[in-house]
Amino acid sequence: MALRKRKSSNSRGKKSKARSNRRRWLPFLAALCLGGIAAGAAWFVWIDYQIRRDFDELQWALPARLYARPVELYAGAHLSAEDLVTYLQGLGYRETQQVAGPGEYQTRGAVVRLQTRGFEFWDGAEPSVFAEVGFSGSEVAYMNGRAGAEQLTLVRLEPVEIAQINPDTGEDRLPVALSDVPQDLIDAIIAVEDSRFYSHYGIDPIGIARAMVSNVKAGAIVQGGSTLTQQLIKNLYLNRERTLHRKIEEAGMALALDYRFDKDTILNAYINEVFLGQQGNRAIHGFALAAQHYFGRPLNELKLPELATLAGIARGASYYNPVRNPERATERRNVVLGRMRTLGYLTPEEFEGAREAPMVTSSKPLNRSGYPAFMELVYEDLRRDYDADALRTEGLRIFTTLDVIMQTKMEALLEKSVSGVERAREGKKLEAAVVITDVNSGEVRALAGSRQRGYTGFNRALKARRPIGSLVKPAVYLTALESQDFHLATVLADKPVSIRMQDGQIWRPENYEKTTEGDVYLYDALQRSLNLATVDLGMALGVDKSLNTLRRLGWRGEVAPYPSVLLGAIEMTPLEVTQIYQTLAANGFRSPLRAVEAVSTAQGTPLTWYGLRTEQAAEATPVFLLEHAMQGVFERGTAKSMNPRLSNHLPLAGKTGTTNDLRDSWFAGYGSDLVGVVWLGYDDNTPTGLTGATGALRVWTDVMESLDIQPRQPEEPPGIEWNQIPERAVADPADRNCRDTLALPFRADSMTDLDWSCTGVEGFFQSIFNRVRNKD
Amino acid sequence: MSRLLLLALLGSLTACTSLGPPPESPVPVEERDVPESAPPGVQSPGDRPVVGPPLPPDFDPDRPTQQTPSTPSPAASLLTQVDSAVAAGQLDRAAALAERALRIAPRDAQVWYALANVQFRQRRYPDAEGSAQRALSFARGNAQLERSINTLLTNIRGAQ
Repeated sequence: MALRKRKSSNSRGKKSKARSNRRRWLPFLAALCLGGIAAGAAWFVWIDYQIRRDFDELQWALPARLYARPVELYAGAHLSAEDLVTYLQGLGYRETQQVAGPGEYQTRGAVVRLQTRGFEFWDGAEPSVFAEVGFSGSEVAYMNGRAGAEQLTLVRLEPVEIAQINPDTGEDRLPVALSDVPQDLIDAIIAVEDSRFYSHYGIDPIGIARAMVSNVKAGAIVQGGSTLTQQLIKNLYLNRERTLHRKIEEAGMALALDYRFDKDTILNAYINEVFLGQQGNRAIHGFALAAQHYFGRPLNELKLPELATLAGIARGASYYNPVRNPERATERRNVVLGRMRTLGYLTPEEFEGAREAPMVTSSKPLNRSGYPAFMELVYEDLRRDYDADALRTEGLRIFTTLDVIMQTKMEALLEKSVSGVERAREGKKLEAAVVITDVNSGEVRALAGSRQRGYTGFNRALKARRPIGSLVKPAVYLTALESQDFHLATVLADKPVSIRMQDGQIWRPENYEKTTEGDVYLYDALQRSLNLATVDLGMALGVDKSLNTLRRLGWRGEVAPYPSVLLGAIEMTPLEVTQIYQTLAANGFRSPLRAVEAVSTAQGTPLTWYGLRTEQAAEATPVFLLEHAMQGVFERGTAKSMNPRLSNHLPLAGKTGTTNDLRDSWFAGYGSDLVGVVWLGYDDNTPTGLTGATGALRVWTDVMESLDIQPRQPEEPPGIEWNQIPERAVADPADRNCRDTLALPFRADSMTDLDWSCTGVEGFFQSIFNRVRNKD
Repeated sequence: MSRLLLLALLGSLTACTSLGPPPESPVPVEERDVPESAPPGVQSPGDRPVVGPPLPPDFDPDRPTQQTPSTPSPAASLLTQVDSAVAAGQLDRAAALAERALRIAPRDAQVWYALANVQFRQRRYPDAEGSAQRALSFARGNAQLERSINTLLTNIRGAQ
């Protein structure tokens, strides 16, 4: 086009030269013409160069997209029909009477049929498949594919997009290839915006004239005269200036664009570029993102009425917003449909059908900033490997470990659960933090930095550093059980103690209830969280030994080895506490907690993968023995108040934590699938009136019950022997009473000094008899 | 490694014979790590009923078919893919597949062993050692698997 224009200017110059009969003006006119031609040509060459440069390199700054862990379907999966439907709705699936295509589902009681959309995961493509899923309670009972199709053992659903990191411009888009754009949308755009698109040269004088006539007839602006090419230029150069100079420049650029690039390339760029809406400071560009934004579904799942609606929005994204102004949008859609009918794109039947269709927009727009507390953890993880610019502009796909179903369930009850335990304080709100991880892998499944859903302020799960109180005790007892000198039946002295500190002060710890218990077994001192017995044990071991154990379990802090450390005078965030309990829950194998699994390019090419790392931090045998005592916390210890509520989930292992003057209320516990840590307290660190058991434990129980935490299945390591010991601990073995006994696990090599074992003192049947009798 | 090959072979046989009569025993992974008496509510892959409740009458009965109980366990089918990925030299993908299998069968010694093998090939020796030790902790009573894991541990420690 640029060349054509140059030629025609040239020929016009020749004609003027031929017509001229005023010979003396000739040199002047010729000079003027040549100068004008040269200037025009230079200008056009510049425009042409600009267009080629900008358009060839047309690469949109694309936001990084963050995805939650996808749901996997298989027989035996821990998932209810209700959970699946909620998840599908979150993905914008449509409920239908008969599943006919991707993104549709159908439910009847405990059976859900669906067709997935398929997804490019970082580790491979997941195809679109049909599946029929039968449920039995909160479990998938079976899964079938279509008749004749290959067997279906495992289906990975698309991941829910949970957030994005937007470019500075705030522009967001989902670039789409022209071949993936439904023909109805292309027809609708062309019909309503530029019906001569395929025949003009970038600008369309006939179109302008026609539009003017239409507008004058209608007495309002019903048609615009600018071509798609011109609109694209306007969008690309983001200049809303309405000067004549600007108009001429735009026209020149449109001509150049049309000359240099084919129609499909231009149309494709228009479809991805055009501005179609605003959500907060996020600008919706392109039809593919608009489909998600207004209808909650991908472009290829939309039908004619929806596509016509989208085509109509381009004229005025806010004015014709189908969610906010459905009537106006419907009217506009029908204008689009009318144009399509007039131009022969639609049969009368198609036109009528679409015109009658109700305007159904997405009832649940995807929650894009819904998990700020978890996102903060994700950013911390990503910051190690990616700079902020890459995250904002390169369209990276970030696969996180968040379980949206768990997160949603936890958030749904947290506020109510916390207010249920809160002791009313004037003008103050008890705050909370919750961390839930996968026992096996250390992946963070759910996280709350406040009792309030979606709270974007201080993230207590990551930032609140508080004394952990008795949560430290398992590290002390593990240290003991790792040495050959202690076992679960070692008798500790729970009696007043005075310890002279380095600065000369005397430290006199007390039990929570100010009582002393005298001789107690080691396991009992832990399950009942006795401070004096713990100090007795910890001082015998050496404080630094317990600190070393904490570090092996995953703590990275520093603290001077004061004796008060044994009772938890050591500050940690809920996330740090979770790391320690994670290692205990994984039978002594430490895996760093992680929130990001992998990062890929927008096309799905993997960039970084954060694989599972695991290292043995403690031997299986002492961890097994420790867990026996920590299961006792629920059976007989400080958490037994929740025993009836959790009866379907036991055995579980856990520990309560309370700090001085009841400032912090902690509970950390785990089943075979999940680790959960709950902290409750005030931001100004004033007393809460709650112990670990009356506060955090209750919240923990509410959360874990709703997540259906699975019972522990401790794997008994080799070299464990079970022994009967007297129920009552006595310091002198000669005083032992073997009438009432209980069974405890021991490492076989620690049996030699077990003077007060009752095994062998009485027969096996006697011991069974005793136990049965004791139950009555 | 020979077990993994065997697994792959069995996996492909199962796939090839899906139209024929169901094989007598499913792929080996399914049978492992099913405790004699699993506590109530605890799931193990492979011991699920694969035939569901009868369909409601208004469901079109022709389209889907009830699968035969020969369906390989999801973890086993992923392990077959692990082997293919290893054979294709896609070690990251292989490790990711093994991790997916772990999410389904977290206490399956065979799956941990497969992950340890991939990590060993990736020269991630400390991780490989950790995974192999975890495999060992779930492999009690399976002498042959214990031997394989111990051999792998020896190789890992030798390579470090």
